Amino acid sequence: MNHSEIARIIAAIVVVAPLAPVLPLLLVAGTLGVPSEKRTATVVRAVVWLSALASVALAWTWFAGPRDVLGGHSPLDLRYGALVDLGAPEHPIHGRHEGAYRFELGLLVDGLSVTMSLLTSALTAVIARFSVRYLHREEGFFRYFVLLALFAAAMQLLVLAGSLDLLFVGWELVGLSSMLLIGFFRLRPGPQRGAITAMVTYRTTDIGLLIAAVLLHHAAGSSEFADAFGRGAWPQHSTHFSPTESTLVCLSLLLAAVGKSALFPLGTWLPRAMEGPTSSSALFYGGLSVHAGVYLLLRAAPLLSQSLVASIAVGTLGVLTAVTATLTSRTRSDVKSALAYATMTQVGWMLLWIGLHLWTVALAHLVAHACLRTLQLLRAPSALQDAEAIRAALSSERDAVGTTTENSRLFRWAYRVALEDFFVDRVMQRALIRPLVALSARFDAIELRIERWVGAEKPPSVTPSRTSPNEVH
Amino acid sequence: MYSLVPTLVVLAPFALAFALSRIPQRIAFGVARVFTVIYAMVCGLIAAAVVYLPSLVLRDVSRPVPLLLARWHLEIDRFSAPFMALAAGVTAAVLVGAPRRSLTRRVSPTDDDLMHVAKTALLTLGSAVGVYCSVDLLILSGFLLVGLLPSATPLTVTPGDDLAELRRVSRIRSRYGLVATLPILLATVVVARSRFELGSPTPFDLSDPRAMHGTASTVVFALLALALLARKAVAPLHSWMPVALIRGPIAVSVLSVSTHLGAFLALRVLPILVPESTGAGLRALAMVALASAMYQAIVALGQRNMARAVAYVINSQLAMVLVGIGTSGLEGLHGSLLQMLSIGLVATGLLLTVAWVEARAGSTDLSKLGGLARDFPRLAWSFLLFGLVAVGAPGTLSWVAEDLLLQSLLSHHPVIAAVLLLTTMLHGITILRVFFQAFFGKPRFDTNSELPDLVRYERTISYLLLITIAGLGLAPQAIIVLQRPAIDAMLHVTEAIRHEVGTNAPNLTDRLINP
Repeated sequence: MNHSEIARIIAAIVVVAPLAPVLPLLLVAGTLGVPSEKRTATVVRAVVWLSALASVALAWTWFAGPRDVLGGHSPLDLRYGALVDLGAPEHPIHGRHEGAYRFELGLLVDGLSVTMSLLTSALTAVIARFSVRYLHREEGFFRYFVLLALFAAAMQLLVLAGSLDLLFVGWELVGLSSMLLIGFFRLRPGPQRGAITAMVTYRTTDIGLLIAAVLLHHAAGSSEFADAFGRGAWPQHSTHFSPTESTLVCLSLLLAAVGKSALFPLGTWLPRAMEGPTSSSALFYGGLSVHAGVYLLLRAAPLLSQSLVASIAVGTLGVLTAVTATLTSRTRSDVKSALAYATMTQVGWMLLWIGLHLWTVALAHLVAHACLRTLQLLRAPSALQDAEAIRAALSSERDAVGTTTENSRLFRWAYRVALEDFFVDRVMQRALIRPLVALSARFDAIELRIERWVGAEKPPSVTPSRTSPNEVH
Repeated sequence: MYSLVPTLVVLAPFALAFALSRIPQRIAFGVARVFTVIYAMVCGLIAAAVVYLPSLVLRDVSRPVPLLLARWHLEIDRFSAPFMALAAGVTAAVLVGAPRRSLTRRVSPTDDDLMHVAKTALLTLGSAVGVYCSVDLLILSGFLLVGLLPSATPLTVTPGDDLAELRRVSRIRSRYGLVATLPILLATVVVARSRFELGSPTPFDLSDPRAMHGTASTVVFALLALALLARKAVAPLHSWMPVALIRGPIAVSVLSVSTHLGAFLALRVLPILVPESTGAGLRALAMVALASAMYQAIVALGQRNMARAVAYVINSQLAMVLVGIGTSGLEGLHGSLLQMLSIGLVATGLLLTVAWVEARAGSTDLSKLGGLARDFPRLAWSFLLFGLVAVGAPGTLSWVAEDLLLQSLLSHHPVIAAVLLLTTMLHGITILRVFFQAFFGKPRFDTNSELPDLVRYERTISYLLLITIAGLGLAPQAIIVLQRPAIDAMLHVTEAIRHEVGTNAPNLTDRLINP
């Protein structure tokens, strides 16, 4: 078995291991009843640890692998066959459809993906351990761990994906698990609203990733990173894209990153997402999910290098996000919201580094910030205790977070604007959501009128009484 | 291979439908359920045989009837077999898994009501399978006409307050059904005359290679297009579908969605009969379908009734199938075929789940629902999983289908692709909003802890549908390989027309009929 085959097997374990128990666990819960906390946690922790160990092994395999002419570690382009291949099989009459669409299942192991995979493994394993106690006797314990396993697999897929198509799969599954964990406390209205806001934002901006995948496919004939960006070590790839093509793909990717990484002006879902359990908030919005957009732009480094327009757009958006988020964080009185805005601020700076083509700085910032913010969010429920301990130690009164005695006009204006989240929500409501809902209501009225006209005079009847159990089926 | 199998497969549901009246009412519904399950298995086996033995085409051909010039010509091939199995499976799933009140739309369903429902479902199934297998246009039209009859009747005559409502729904369905069927009958007459003049001894037979040209071709295309729009419930001929899905008996409604007879006509009949008009005509139809998909997605967005929201989303997705067919490209055609299979399975799952919600909560009005996940967690998972499949979550068949449609459109028709992207985005928002509003939040109806979560039959149906969808989603290549010869043949016809090289070439049509 050669080096590449070993890497293929290990990489597959990294991605598939956390996903493996999801369907069996759901089937068991659906047929035999929900498994006990101990069993659920043991199974999920075991697969998360297996994935983490495989991730370390993968990193070692890559590190010990061949080097390119410049002395850098060559990326490993691992292919597992095609999910969809419209050209295959060879047809006796028409032959192969040249240039037909092909969706390759492939993973790419290079400096960027190995770093992110190790980070993902480490944080997921820590959070899985933390959650066992934190969610003990919580009603949705089973649900939480199933979604955690799904997230672990999805995030590994996202960072190791060898093509934009496959990355999209991980991207969507990360969004799905994130949305369902925001609504974890399902009887409270807050989480429900938070989940809907996150879902609408994700769904809207994910269009960018789809467009980018198709553009890449048509510009390079493939959405495989190795084919489109060349086979050099990250970030020193080279592409044969024109600046216009590079700009279009990068701007599409930026749109996707705006949603997932809560960038200005669509970042207001992030503080609302803190309605979920603290442990998942730490993992998703401190550690990994929120950095998925940054990872995406880092992955597109070869394209950004070729597009000045896109680089300026990325950098500018980063600065805008950082400035607005840092101002807003100072108006928030609860610690999780303040941390959410602080995260957005740091993500904004990461975008600036990317805009300036400081790829390694951005990656280092990402890793450091993910670890720090995860820890801060895990400590958030103890913030009050910590503050009192600090006060006791210093024996003096300190200003609470977010309060100040500054009273200048500029300050008051800035405070008011930041308190209102820069009026982004209101503008969105007025410019987009309300008109769309009004249009929907108008169309619905037309529909009802047509139904009456064709003879369906009566509106849908409401069944007078509920069925008794023996009549359900 | 000459065989009686197609005839037996087509006539079996009709035979049982007529026999049901002679069976004691008490057991008639049970017999129909058992029959549909066995029938679905048989159709599945036939489909598997046709798939794994590519040269196997089950054919039953009689001599032409004098004067009428039509002949009994049925075939089961790689193109029709999966749809046949889908229709049979969906019928079995609905008859076994749907609550009795959703099946009959009656407050207190009787054995007589259930027997009538089973009869209607069997007649609809038989006519759909007949359409799939027919290679003679007159026989095909006959099956379409027969399929109209059961959906146009109110299922039962047992008196009751709800009978008027049933009649109302049937009336709407029959009006639109006529719009969807009469043009096909008229087209059949024009085809017969035109092809007879071309010297065809069997003018109705679709395996006859003589294609039509000129005015006759345009007229036939226009008539078939009208029928197609009504069958696929494309705006402005769509109003029957939401009414049927929300207020009609669930078996017929689900079969109306899942059988895709309109799209089947577009793929199988149009390129053979009127290849000249098909290219540009289908592109025009695709535009209408795209507008309809967007319109219905917007209507769905603001709905406050779960059933209505789901109905409009399904309707919008049905229109998307036509968009892919209209592109006439490799990716678009594959995407459409996968979308047809996917919608058939997903619509069944979603509509059944809505029926299960209604059976428990007494309503599908979102203002009266909320917090259902607390008492019915399995029901919540069921809606979520079917909903995710419906909106094209990765790893599912719908996702592959939507991806192929977008691949097809974005390079050549970016504006259309953008509209399609927005439409799918709206579907996602609608379905997930409905999920959160109905299953999360504070319960808004009186808790009745006696009501069970999904019962055994319901769970089994859910699992089977989900496993099928997941299996096909993880291995879509199996379906793609299966459908490829038929699509290649269609593309070849289009290409031949483009280059004006003998659209009458017999091998092209022959391959289209027997891929």
